[in-house]
Amino acid sequence: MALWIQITTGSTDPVYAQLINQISRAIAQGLLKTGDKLPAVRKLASELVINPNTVAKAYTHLEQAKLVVTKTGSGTYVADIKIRSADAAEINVLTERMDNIIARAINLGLNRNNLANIFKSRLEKFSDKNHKSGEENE
Amino acid sequence: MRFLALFKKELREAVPWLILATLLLLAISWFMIHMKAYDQSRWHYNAISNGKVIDTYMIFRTDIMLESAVLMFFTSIGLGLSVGIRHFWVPDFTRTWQFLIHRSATRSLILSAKLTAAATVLLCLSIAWLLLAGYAHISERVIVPPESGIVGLGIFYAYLGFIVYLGTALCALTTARWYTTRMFGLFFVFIMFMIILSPTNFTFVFFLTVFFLAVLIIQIYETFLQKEF
Amino acid sequence: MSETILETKGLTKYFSNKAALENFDLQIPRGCICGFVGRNGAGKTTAIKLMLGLLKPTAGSSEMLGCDSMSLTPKIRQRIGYVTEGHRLFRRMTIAGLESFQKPFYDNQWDYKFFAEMIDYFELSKKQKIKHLSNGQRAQVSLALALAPHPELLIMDDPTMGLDPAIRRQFLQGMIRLIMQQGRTVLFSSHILSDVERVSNQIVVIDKGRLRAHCSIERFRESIKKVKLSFAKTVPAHIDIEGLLNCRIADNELELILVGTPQEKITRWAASAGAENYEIVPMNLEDQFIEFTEPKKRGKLFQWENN
Repeated sequence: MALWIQITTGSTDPVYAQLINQISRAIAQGLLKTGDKLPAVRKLASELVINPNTVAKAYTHLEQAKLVVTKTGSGTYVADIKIRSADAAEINVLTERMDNIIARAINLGLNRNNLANIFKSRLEKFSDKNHKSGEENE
Repeated sequence: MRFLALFKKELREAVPWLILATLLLLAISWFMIHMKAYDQSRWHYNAISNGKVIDTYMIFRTDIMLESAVLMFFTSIGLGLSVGIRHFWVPDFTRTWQFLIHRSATRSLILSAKLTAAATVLLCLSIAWLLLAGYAHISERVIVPPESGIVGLGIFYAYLGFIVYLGTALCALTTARWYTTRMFGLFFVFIMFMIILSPTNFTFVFFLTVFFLAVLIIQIYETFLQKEF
Repeated sequence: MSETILETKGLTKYFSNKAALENFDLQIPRGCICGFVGRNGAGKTTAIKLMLGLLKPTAGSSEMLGCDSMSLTPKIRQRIGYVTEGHRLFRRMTIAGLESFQKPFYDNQWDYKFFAEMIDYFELSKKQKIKHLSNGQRAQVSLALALAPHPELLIMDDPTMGLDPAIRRQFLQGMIRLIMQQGRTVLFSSHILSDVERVSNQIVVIDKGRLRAHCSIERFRESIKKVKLSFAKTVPAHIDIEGLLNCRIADNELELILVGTPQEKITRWAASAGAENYEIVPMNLEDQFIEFTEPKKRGKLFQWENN
């Protein structure tokens, strides 16, 4: 299960950020479903050859973002998506990031249609099964 | 256990030199003893067969092992020098100092192991010398066996070889520059030789060497315990 | 078990009037992997040797496992592993010979099985003599010898210099494996920042004999930022933003390297300086390190070579 995490050193993203991003993305794409167990900290650290502390920090960060839940003695599991709901602040950050991407795309010469198509095709990669509750929220 | 491990390692490093020195000593001495014995018996025989009155003193005035003793002198010094260099000086070997110093043993234990190994090596050389003397005693070719004085002298030379080892060690360990007092160790040993080779009472000579030995050992320990690697 | 495994106070070392290390204050907590980085000649090796009692300090003190570095007892030394670049071992010995030489120094700590497994994994034979091994193989033996007694503190001074990526990875794996045992700490110096980033939780930056930074690797990564600002007309003559490390100008663009400057201050300064817009450019650890240890020309603006 840990095989799909790739750590690239020398990257502009710090190691823990890469871990967080890849796990988040996997959850969003439905590769990891609610209740799936994340690899044990030591096992992942050993396989990726990174510090167990870094893995622990990433897991803590994900837990704070309510993406995962740690059950003492048992392990870390993907959280029940229904419990999560984006708050206003998080949506603001997201909107700002989208603005940056849109600005960059426009500067590259893409028109709005191109951009919308690209966005749609990327969206297809992410499973909808986990996000019924998200649609309900909005 | 630690001392033994260190001792075995230091001994193993010195053994090739010991083997070289022993082979050199035994082979050449054996040859020299035989030559001399043959010479002596030929003189003796010639003199008798010609009916001449011979001066026995003339034929046997020098000990059968005299030349071997001279060889023993130089071999011991050479061995002391070589082992000293091997243990303390050659960069290729001394690059492992950091590894050695970091072992869980005190510095004095590490140094003691080296010194004991060198002493053992020179002891082995004196055993080789004794075997040679033993051979000269039992050999039928030798007419007059070696005197105990000469045999004792050979052992004394092995002991001097150890002092040369100490002098070499001190030169290698000191941090002084070569053009100042770096070579003090060997120079000190040289002074010792100058004194003892002049005709003096043997007891005086022996105690003098003990003094030089003590000074060298104290200096070596002090330098090694303080040395930076 | 004490929390601080290594502590230096004002550690200073001069080599004939030249300061190799000055006022070096460091505390390393138990259980971390601490990466020592610095340019060549910055003083990493000097610091490590001082900590291990191989050098005498000119001033200051150093303690390892609660014992002063100048008087490390054999019992303490046996809890510390030490690996240096070059991996100089006794050339005439065989690997088996080296193992039997090492064992007595570790009382009952030596893990025969582990050593044998490592040697096997490296596809070496215990009968091989050290002088017949390549640099990489010698490093592998050195690693096995250091890890077999499962040391409480492992100190490695540029252990992977000149080694191929596979062997470098083996060293990292060895470190990770050790750190997962209780109460172990690793301190290693390296020029390969990707390795440092990979396995360290703390980073220590030594620059020209002085301690420049000691923090978690995440904090270091987050603190050093590259900000590109573009101006309508000319770049301001005086740049007085907090945490300025370096700056470069090209035409109407200004590139600032900042340390620990909070986001709001960047925004505020950009506005007050009259920048049209600004962008925070992501940096990798190597770039951050290079900027952090560049010679300082504080306050002066210097030009790129434009062709």
